[in-house]
Amino acid sequence: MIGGDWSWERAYEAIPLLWDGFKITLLATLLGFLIAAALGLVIAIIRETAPRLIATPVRAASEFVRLTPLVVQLLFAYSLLPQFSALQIGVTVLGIHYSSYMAEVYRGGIEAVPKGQWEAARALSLPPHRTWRAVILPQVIRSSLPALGNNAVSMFKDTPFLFTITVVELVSAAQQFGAAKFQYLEAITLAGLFFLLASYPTSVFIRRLEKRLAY
Amino acid sequence: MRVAAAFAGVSLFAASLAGCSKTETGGDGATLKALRDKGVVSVGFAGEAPYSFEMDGQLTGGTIALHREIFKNLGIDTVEGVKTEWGGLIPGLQAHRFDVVSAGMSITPERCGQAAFSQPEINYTTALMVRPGNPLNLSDMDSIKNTSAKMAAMSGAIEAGYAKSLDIDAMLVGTPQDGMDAVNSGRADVFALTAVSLNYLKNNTPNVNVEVTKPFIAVIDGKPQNPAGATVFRTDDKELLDAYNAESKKITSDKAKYLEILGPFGFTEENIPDPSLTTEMLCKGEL
Amino acid sequence: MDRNLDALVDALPRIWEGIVVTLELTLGGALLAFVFALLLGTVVRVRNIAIRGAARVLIEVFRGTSLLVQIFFFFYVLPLLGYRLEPMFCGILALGLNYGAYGAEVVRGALNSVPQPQVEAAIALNFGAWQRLHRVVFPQAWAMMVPSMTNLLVHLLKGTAVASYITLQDLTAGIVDLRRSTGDTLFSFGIGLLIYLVLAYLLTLAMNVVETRAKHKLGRGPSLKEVLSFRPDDVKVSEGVHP
Repeated sequence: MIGGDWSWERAYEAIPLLWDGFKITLLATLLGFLIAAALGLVIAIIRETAPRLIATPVRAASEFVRLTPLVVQLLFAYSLLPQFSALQIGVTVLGIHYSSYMAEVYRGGIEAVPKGQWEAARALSLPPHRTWRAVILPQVIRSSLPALGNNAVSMFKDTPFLFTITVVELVSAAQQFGAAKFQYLEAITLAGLFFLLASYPTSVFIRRLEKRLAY
Repeated sequence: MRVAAAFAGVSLFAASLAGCSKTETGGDGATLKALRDKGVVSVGFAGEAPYSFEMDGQLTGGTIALHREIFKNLGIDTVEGVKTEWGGLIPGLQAHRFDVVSAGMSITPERCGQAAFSQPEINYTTALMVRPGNPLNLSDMDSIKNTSAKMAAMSGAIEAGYAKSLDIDAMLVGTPQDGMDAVNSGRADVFALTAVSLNYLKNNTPNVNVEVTKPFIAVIDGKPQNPAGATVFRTDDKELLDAYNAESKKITSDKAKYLEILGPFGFTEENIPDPSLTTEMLCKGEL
Repeated sequence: MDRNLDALVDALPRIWEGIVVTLELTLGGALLAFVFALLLGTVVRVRNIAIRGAARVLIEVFRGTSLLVQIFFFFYVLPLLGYRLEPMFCGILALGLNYGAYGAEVVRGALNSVPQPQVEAAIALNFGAWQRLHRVVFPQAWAMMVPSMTNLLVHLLKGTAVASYITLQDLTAGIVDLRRSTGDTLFSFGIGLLIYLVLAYLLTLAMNVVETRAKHKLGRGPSLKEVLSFRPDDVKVSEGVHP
């Protein structure tokens, strides 16, 4: 086949190891997403409602995290906190890193809520937390769903960076297999296929969701 | 302005295509004559001290010194290094990224299937890097298995193979420094690597709190694994390999000369290869 | 702290070299990505379904697989298929193709969102297809593209951080070395992250200049000179730069 070096036996042998790595990838993505979505919402709300003394540092910290490489943040946390396992650190840093993107998404969503909604809530004498919980947030979350989904897919494609702190996700599983067999061809190609098969349908689904939710 | 940017992009791309070259397959590999004409032999290394590593920007190490001597005797004056991850040494050799691997790589049947090894040049022993005081009382591979200690090994290295044979779930790291960091920070209980490497690492790195145990020979399934390291060639470069072996023998059979070249890097009499252990035997797995 | 500062001063040459490598990867990758994005972004709107399909496939493949997989593929696998690439070129190629694919979507979106009346007017005035693209559609789309491109550029800078795993001594490798020699994680990584932040900021500034020029050319904003001058201008404040 390609390059004449491709060995179907090796490819077949790689699959169980790649699958194990893939499960870790999915786990990291899911947990990271939950952290990012929740933390991002908190950051967005703080930015909108808290006094400047709190909101500005929060915003600055979020920007700092957004503008610096995930890899460096991972290595930093990994070196600094040896008490935690690599996966724990990986998921947390991934979540914190992406929370800064999510916060931007939510911010756009909040700004897109029509002024009339705020005015109506005030006219009905709804207290702030009720306004947020019952009126604003449901609209924000609904309109942010596609962007949140896209960020989830991005996160999924960023999980390989966890290999830098020894988390054995899909790509490092492929790399380790390749190192042991002195042949990376099958492992890395299959890893790429795994990614494509997972992310492409998801992206298509999100695009459809976007079209349906647009009103 | 956009046109200028696009033009710059295309020309940069075209210029960097110079960084892309078709790999030479078969025929004109690293023949002795080709290397003599070039005057340079490029060696792949992974930065494992004291075999082959960079210090203050200079390529140095036991195997590097050995190669400088041997290739000089073969008429090639300069040894150039190409750094890569341990796991990328053999693939890099096959991809013609460099001419030979200079890392004291252990001869194993699996590796023999992918490349050609010279006659053994370094006999080594395995050692364990642990926390000071050796709290888990680790002495060899079996003790790791028995205490279920968390073990780290270099990806693609022989100790990773030991772990796999003994069903130990080892943490795989990319470089010796990463392994040391793992023990130093407590993420791993033990890091297994050659005694020479671990002692060098410990003695030459500031700010680490580790201890190196007494060296041993790993015993897997009752068979003592006598690791012997050699230089790695492509299977096609047979002529070069034979010429190399002839020169290499002159050094490995001369104790004084061997220690003169490798002694400064921490190698001792114990590392001189056993003449009865040949590459053919090791490739077949007869240790 | 003094010891740390001494170690930092010793490490400065290596950190500087690391910054140079990082910048080479960033700028090289960005230029390639730009070309790739323009090419694919325009081709994917062509009428011919075969060409459009091919462009679409390329975009989806490079967007759908991870940057790391692409880098490793070029570094480990491509040599086996006959092409040996220098690590720097592997990095630039992977970065360029990956972010170029994302850029193609931005280009496509921007080209599509140029108001239809503009296109119709151009057709009515007998502009050829290339002229339409070159003189009417693209200049307007360009101003819209820049903010998203800026975003991608910062992502690209961050993406260069894995270069050390294909043997390139970039800034991240320099930071890790600094940490090894000082033993102080907070100090070394703190400095490293700050350097990346400064680089990201500089790149964003540069792109803001580009955006100002683009908008000015369309008559939609102040000129660069006005923006940089100290005299207060009476341009509408609402003409902000929206992310």
